[in-house]
Amino acid sequence: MLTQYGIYVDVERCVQCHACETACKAKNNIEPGVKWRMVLDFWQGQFPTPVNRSLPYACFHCAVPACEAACPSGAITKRSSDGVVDVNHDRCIGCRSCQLACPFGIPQFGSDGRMQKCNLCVDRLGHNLEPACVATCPAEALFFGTLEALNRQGPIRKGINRMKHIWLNAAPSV
Amino acid sequence: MTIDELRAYPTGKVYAMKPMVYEKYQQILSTPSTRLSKAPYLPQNKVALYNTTFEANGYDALPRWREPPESLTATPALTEKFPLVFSDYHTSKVYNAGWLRNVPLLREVMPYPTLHIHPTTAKQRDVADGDWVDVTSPHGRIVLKAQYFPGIRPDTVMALHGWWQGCEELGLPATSILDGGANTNLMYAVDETAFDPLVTAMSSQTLVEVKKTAPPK
Repeated sequence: MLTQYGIYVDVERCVQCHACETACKAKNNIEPGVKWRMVLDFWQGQFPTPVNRSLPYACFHCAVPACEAACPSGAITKRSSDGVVDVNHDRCIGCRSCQLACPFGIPQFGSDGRMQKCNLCVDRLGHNLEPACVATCPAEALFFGTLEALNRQGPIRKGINRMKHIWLNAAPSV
Repeated sequence: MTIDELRAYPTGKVYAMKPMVYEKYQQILSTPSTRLSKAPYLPQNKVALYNTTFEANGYDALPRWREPPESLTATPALTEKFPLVFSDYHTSKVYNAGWLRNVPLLREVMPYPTLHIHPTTAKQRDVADGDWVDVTSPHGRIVLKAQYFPGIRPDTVMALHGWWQGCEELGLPATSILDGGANTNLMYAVDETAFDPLVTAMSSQTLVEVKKTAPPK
């Protein structure tokens, strides 16, 4: 059976400090203008009863990746060992079909014109370390593990079920 | 820790917290001051809400509220030309005070000096989210990028202080510390009555008007 790692985001805990974003960029040496993880900002209501929410957002490593299906050069593959949707930099031809196909706006293109995105820090995974964003988060809003392990935690399971209900087609691994 | 050791931990190194010390006031009360007499910092030997040192020197012993030099109620005559309250904040999610704008990883999160403005207030002035605006007070003029901020009072706008550094890596130039830049200090009254008599801090409040303008070059 496929092992699927994922990151669960507890939006109630996120303080919008962007530390996950910068840790990701520092660890993966990402050039200016490109972000593999980004923190989005939402408002609900307004003065005098405003609510501000944030959502740390990165590749969901879908069970049925739309990007993989759209890629004409076979550069995108889903790894069976950990469920990571991986991009082969050398095979990418920079056609941006994945960008059009991804329902979440994840694929990024830097100065080399080839697709790049979150790979769940597979190099750290090999050393039994959490991805840089999760290890950094000072608010402990990000959780890393296999979907089964994340599922065993009550509030997390509730959140996952809610999200799956919304994003059924691509089956994001969140 | 050497720089090489630090680089081995790209996500930071977390140390265990030192044990918490409680009832530290004993230590504070018994610490001699840096004065020549070595008299303790707290002459009443307790935390002083009513400050006898201030009182002895002719200042208010308790905090006293007074109107800022310019406000909707203190200077109603100004509100026709400058109808919005302006103030600035010093801490943002990525910067400390007036520096770190030159760090590309941080500058990417907040690339431009922004003005927090309520959407209703902005729309009355034909200002869209992300438009550049001229912010003018009786004392100065700065150019900021409007950011719709539903959490702010509709009669108030706020900006982050401390903008002057550019960021070479992102191609963002430094901004002027004079009129037309993004230096909020220019916006406030500087005559002596505008300052706090005791701690001599500037009153960080004034009145402004906001107008759409072209992006700075």
